[in-house]
Amino acid sequence: MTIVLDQRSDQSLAVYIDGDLQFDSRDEGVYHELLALPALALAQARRPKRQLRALICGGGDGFVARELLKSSAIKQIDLVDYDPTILDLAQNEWPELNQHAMTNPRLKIHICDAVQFVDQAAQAADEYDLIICDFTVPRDQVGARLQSIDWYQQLAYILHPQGVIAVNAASPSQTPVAYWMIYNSIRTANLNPKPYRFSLPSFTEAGYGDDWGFFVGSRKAFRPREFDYLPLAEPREFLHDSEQLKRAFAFPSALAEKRTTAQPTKLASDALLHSLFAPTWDEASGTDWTSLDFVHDPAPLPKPHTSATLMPNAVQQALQADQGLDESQVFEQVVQVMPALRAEQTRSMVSEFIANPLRFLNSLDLRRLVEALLRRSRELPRKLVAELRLLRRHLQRTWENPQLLLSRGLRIVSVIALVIILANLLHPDTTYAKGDTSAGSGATSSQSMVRTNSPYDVVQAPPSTVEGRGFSSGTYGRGSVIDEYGSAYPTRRYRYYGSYYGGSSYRNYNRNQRPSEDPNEGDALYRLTPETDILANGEVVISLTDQSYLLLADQVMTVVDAEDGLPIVFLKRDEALVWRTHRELDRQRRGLDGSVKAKQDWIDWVSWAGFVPWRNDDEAELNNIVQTRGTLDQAIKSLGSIPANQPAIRVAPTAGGFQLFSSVWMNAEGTLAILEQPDGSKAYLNKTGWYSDSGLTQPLSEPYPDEFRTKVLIPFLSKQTTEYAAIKQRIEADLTSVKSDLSLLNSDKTEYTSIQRSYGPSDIVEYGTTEIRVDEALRRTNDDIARTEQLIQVLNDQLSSLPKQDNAAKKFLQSLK
Amino acid sequence: MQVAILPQLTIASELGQQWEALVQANPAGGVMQSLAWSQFKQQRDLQVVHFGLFDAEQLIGGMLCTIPAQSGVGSNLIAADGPILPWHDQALARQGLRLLREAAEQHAAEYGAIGLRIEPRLERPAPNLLRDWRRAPVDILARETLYLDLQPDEQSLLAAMKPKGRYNIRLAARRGVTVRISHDVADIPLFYRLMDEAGERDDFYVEPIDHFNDLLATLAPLGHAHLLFAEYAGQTLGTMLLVTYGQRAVYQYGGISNQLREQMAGYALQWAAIQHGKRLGCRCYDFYGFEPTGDPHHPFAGFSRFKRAFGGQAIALIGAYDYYFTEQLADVIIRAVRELA
Repeated sequence: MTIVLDQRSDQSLAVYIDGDLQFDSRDEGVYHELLALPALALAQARRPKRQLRALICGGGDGFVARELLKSSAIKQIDLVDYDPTILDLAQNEWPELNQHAMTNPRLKIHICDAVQFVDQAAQAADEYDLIICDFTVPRDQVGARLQSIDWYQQLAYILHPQGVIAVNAASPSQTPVAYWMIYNSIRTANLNPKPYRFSLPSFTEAGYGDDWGFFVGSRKAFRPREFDYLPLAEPREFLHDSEQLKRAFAFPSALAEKRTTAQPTKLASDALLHSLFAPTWDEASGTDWTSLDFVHDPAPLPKPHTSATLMPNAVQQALQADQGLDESQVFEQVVQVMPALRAEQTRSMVSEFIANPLRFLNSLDLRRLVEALLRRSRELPRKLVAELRLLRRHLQRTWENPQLLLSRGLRIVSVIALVIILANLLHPDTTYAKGDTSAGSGATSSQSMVRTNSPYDVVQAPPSTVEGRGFSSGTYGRGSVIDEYGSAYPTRRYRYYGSYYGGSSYRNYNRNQRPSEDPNEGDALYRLTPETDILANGEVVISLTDQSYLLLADQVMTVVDAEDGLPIVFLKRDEALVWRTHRELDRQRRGLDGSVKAKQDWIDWVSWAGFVPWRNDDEAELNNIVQTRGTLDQAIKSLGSIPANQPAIRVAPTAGGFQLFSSVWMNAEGTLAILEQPDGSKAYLNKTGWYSDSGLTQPLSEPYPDEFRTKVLIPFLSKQTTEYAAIKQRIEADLTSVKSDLSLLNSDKTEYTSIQRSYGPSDIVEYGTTEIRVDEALRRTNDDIARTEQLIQVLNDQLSSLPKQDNAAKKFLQSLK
Repeated sequence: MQVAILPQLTIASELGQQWEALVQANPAGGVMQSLAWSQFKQQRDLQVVHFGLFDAEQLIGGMLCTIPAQSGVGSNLIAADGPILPWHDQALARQGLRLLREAAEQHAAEYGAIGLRIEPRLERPAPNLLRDWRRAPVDILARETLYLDLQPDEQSLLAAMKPKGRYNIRLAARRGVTVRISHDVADIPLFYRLMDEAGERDDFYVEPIDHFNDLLATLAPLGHAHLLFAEYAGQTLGTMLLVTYGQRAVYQYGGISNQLREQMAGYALQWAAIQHGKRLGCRCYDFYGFEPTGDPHHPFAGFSRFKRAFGGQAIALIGAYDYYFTEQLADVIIRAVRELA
């Protein structure tokens, strides 16, 4: 067990156990009052004159004990925790925080395993009036047994029939299936649980969900009126009264509905862990269902999940589903449902990890495996044996590309790939691996040339709510720029003269007369795409080079000098770019709308509690999102009229020319740039002049915009040619490396061939670290050669698909310098 | 030659010292084969299996493997930075690797292993003796990296850097950025906050906080792990976890805050780490991840531009290689198929 103490500069303390936040001194009182006091009050109300015996399982920090000791009705508490370190810290380091509970004579500490302790209590026919389970959320099978039916049955055995149990569970909105699995396990043990929840800022900040859930239960089911006028022990810091507490029992009905299918779990089941590791981030706010409306839950109780399975449940279902024989679809399905297998993994990590299943199939000798499986065909279903035979035939001919194998519709190939994937996912080192994960020699360069001026053409669903901390950061709007996910990046700084760009005022700009006032200067506020920023006043700017940017406005596009904020040239609006930018702005604006609503609902939901100390932060974040959303409105307005339909991408004005960025092209020969001016006329520009005709005979009367050459074209083309050169160099380096592999393979082949010729096919030779017949070594070497040649083919294809304008760009760049 | 499973060795024991000396002397080895690392991994709930390779009762190599405990499904024994073999002698290395693989396969059932993954720090191309192994889908180490030779004096190191690197190191110093070196686990939360910020910004996954706590708590007392913090006017602008072991210092983790990036804290940190590695007698500084050609689409593209400023030599390692134990793998597949039936 690893304990990390985070003593902050404001003197608050956060404690992590095995990476999970155990408590944060700023709000641990909320958690412990809510966990302990309702159960204590219910137990006291049921047996008002009795001196109560309590058992705390876990809770070695002493905080639950602190709460229980507030009541004089508590005669004795047994506290069971297996970790002496936390008990020692509680006693010696945090006595002020737990109000010396650990040395209170009414408390007896037992350093041992809770299951063992409860077993012994059952054998001794001990009985408790109150049991509080304050365990951390399970991260492994050992922890999960403390949320199983078996555990709760044991507890029911030592709980007085009128006694009360309270349980720390999980986040109902973030891991609803897990939360209701625990609920149904407690139900199965006949402990009649009532679910309740509240918001805990430190847990939310640590990523544990917007709400946190508990259960209170008893062998004798609670009547709703028992929750009226509860004698809550005092003093209390956060929990006000029964009315406030009763609101904690309300849930959105969609969330409560999930209890009808969440399976309770037996000791050996791993289903709870899989659900805990697979958050779904359901909507937390909503109060239209409450468990205080009934005595016994009328919802059906699903059958228990009993044993650990090799394949996670969801994966089994996806594999079993009858979807014809299209393996690619089966695999897609599996990738979507594959749960995390370890506490530290997230769904997105897992999805990324298994996005390319081929690399897993490539890592084993499939032919050897198929032979081994066929030797054990009696243990396999007939259909799969037939598949294996078919697979063997494919594999016997020559090396077969795993891509083809997956597409042949063999279910067994999916199973094999999955087993290898699971084996990899289980090892914690692999999901955090630092190396790149390419198969073969590392030919990962995708060569998808992203044009620097285009907002992404991919239309995706907006994120359901912002997750990053950018909007809630104290430095919002200063020094960092935020994207739709709320992630913050170092900002780019812009200088500009707003008065020149909007409407038709650009016509008044006199290049020969520098403005007397200083330019406006500001950071970008919002990042629309990696190249596109939105300024605080709603201007849309696209970074072209370090020295220049493109500003979109209602009538023209302006290439602006980033240093002095002055226009370099005005260009005709690229309607296709405007249309794409508008679509992206609108999409992200809708995303922010969703975030605003979620945040508002959230603030409404938690506001009743009154004990959420950071409500101001939430409101600041909401304000920042609302402000950003307003800026996106302004940005859309700044674009002026938007074409109704997607305009076609414009073709180069000269045959074979290449677009450099919107409204600017280079001719095929790489001798001049062509600019489309606001009135639609073309300007042809080379190193020394610009002209109205491509023959460069009619000079334009406007002064030659030398900054366009020095601050736009030269750095733009330099970056582009450097990048192309780097990509080319990368592929060539990969090619060299793969070719050296091939040459080693060919020399092996020559050697094996000569041995076979001299000594026959059954002669034994060294093949790596094994010794095999030479004919087999030769066959495997031929497979390896085929695989390597295919890789060479892929790399050559990548080389030949590199943009053709590279030569023209290099030539043009040379002529411009 | 023969292979034996070794008991848990302490660094003070004679065999432990022999093992450490072998790992530190082997250029294809690294800290992940050290006894300290194995302690760290045990702390992280992994089983560690130590195979020793003996010649006439003399320990000449071996491998420290990790595997998840009670995996149920079956997982791989992983020997990152290993195995430790006389790689320069192909025939000996072949024989040694074969014995290690056979021993791992023989004991596979005890550990729930279905395969063995190795990842020696050998430069490409892969030696012929790995012909019956396959490229693994994942590399634990940064397979393409940048090594800086720490043997020249500091002035020569600075002189060999790109002008931008040299300039920014001096700029950070002039502006008053200082670097504090710590071995105190109490600094882990501060380190983690910066790592987390960088992870969110640059879109990479950061291990849980207790991973770093355990790493520092196990390796720092032995002088192998160091936290560096770049500080400026009372603020912490960046951090790094430097691992030094044998001849090599490795820039294992790091993160720079979004604030005050113009203070060049990243340069100050790297230079301090290089100097610290040198002071501790390391001969090589590993930048741990580098794309040499400047390919803008490569996942390492962003930080490689920064690292390039320090000079050094681009290194392409062979990466990780897998060998699956066919019978054990078949067992698991048959179990999986039966679950589906």
